[in-house]
Amino acid sequence: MEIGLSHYLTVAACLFTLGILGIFLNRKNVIVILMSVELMLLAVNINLVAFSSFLGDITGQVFALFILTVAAAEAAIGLAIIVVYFRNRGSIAVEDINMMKG
Amino acid sequence: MSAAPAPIVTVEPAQTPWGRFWRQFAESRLAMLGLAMLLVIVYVGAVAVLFLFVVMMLDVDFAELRAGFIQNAPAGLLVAGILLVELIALVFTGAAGAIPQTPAVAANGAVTNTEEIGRVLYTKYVYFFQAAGLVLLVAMVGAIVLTLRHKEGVKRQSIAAQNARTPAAGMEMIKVAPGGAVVPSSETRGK
Repeated sequence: MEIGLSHYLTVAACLFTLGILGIFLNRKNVIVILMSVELMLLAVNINLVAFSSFLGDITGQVFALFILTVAAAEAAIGLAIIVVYFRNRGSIAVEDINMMKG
Repeated sequence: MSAAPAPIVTVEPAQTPWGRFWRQFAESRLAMLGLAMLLVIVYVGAVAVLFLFVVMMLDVDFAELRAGFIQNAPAGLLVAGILLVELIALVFTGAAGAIPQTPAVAANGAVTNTEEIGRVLYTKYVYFFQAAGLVLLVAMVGAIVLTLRHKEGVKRQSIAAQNARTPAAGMEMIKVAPGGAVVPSSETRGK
């Protein structure tokens, strides 16, 4: 069976759904939520690279490269915030993050 | 004992297994191994290790955090199921059908995929490339600023204070009474 564009898009859709499912199932842990967001970014990357390959346009891959950069920066900042939060409050449960009540 | 010249055996780099691998690696235009390897290296080497360090450092009780798993499962599965069905339906019925189902072949066969990315990344997208570098720099500085803290009560060397020290500030003349003793005060000792 020839692997076509639809197969790549299906894999990406499954990964994206897994990321959403991770956020919904584990609403208590900020680290798992961050990992789920990374998974969703990765799914979008797969979409971009697949479209880039099948359309013969290199721009999609360059865009995937930039998404990779932003994902790495986001992980670094997010984890730093988690570390500082844990140091101040002693917990990273989502339900304990309730100090900023607008 | 004849001195017959030994045949010189040379192994072409492409004939060794690794040579073949790297040659295919360089010539693969469709597989885009370069970008894939980059993703693997960044995610495994940087992001996953970062997550591991934080999980190790924070000592989080994951069993307690997993308590609401069953409770949240129906809603999560419902939303995820709807989304998955929608996305896959979109893939097979939407505008994706207008796109050719076979990978496009590069126009000039001599250029590898990585080289092609480099050609546009450093010319057309050079400002975006620089901006990406700036994003990484800001993320690095931000992470350091967020997590850096100075512990109280730790003695540190202050080079400026050492250089600014003069004999007048460092010495104290004390008149000692005959037969007496001088106990240096803690203030003097600390200097």
